[in-house]
Amino acid sequence: MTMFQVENLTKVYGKVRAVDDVSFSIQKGEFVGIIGPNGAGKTTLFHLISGVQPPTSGKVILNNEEITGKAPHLIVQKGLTRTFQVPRPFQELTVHENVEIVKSSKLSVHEQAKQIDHLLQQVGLGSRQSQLAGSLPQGDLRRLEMARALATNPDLLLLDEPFAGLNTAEIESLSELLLQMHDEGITIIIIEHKLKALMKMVKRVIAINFGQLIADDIPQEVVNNEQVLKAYLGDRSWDFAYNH
Amino acid sequence: MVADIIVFGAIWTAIYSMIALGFSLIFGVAKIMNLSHGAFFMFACYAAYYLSSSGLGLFWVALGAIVITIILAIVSYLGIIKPMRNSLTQVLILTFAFAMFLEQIIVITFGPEPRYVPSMLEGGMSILGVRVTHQQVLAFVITIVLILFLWWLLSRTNMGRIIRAVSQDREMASMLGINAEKIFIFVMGLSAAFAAVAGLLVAPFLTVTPAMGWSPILAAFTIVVLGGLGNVWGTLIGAFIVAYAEMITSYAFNPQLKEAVTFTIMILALMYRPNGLFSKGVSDA
Repeated sequence: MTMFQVENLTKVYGKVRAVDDVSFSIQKGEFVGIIGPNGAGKTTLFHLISGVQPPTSGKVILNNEEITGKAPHLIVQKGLTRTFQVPRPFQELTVHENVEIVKSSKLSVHEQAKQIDHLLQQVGLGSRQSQLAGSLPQGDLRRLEMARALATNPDLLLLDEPFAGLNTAEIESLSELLLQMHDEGITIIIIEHKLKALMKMVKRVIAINFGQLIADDIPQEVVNNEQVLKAYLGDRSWDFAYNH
Repeated sequence: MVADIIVFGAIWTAIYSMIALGFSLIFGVAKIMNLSHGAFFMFACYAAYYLSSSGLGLFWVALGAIVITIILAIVSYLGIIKPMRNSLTQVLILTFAFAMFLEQIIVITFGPEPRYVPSMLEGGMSILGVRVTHQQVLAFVITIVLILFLWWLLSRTNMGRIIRAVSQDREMASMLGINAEKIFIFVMGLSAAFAAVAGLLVAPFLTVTPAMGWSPILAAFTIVVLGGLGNVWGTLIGAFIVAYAEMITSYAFNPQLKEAVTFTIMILALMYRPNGLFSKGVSDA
């Protein structure tokens, strides 16, 4: 069942087409990776989908409802949540408060309050609930991002480079958490440069270059796709990304 | 004289705190430098004057004046501030113009001559040998209660946590399902309510004139420069400094020099501590 569609999505800045006529659809329960060299337009694509920026043209459809250009908080309440490349905790609030303020349209205030402890335990921050978010190390900030995103009770979760800045052990631990979230029924789209870790999790990969979709297939096919290899040529990031 | 300075310094610290907290709060949360804040203070006094002259009881006069001022503030936010909110300079000019506009409306409606707003409490008492009116004591007590209320709201309620979250990162708050625009409207209303309550409390012992909003906005501006824009506790300390500097000047030198001292503090603060004595974002502590 198709739960999410992007139709001919385009974003133009002056003469630059940052996202160029991108179309794809996502089935309920999928776990999809988005790859591409730096500056390919991946994060801009997330910005357009999540309402951070309006697209120049094209449509975004979630659960058969068009959400193109809607305010971010309304898109969240429709069931689509995203995270950012750099974690953005509310530094002067505690870990618990960071999750407590999240507004979910699916749960009552009482139900939401009850799920906070569970979520923080699930992401491994159960013992740090009263700590100020600004004092957390990088790995825990990622976990807090996950807890906040989950607190919105999303149908579709967009993750923008969740492994950035994490060491190998932290990546493994976060991968397990993401797989667990996926097993619980959340559809996930993840942008990630650490391809080795990404390919272990996803069943489908979309590759983007110069704002255009250049491949959409199973991981094994995408890593051998001529256009994808060409996109990464001279960038050395392919070797780096695939070996880290 | 020392007792006078202590007692009236405390009363004006409280009143200035309330005016400046409203001014600081809307800047801290929405980055709006609202120069019409003093006009809201003045408008509430005239609303109270109008309602009291129509024969309403004091409770309804106060409630009515606060509600009317809140509505005026929200309408001004939606009508003129929101479309320009991303430009601090444009908001400064617009809110300054709106304050002038309100002042002229009041002049046309009520005339330039001073008006009288009745005290909520009659009589007086002695504190440290200094004669103060019950209205002044009431102003002090209500201000303290409202400052405690604001502290409780920001630090102990989910609405307060959401306000602090929006003040720290509006975009991220939106990504967590929070309607930041609603929060701005709420804080604009709260800020105006603080200006209105301050106006209602001091109107009986001040001269109510169309230009009465400029002096409080000067004090509020100086206080938040001292305390750091958006910093609640810094604002209280800034109010203490400005109020006592004014009282010392009034009693030891000349009351006419009061505002000159406030200006001097503002100039010195902008020259040497432009980010405030204790710069940080809106917080509960």
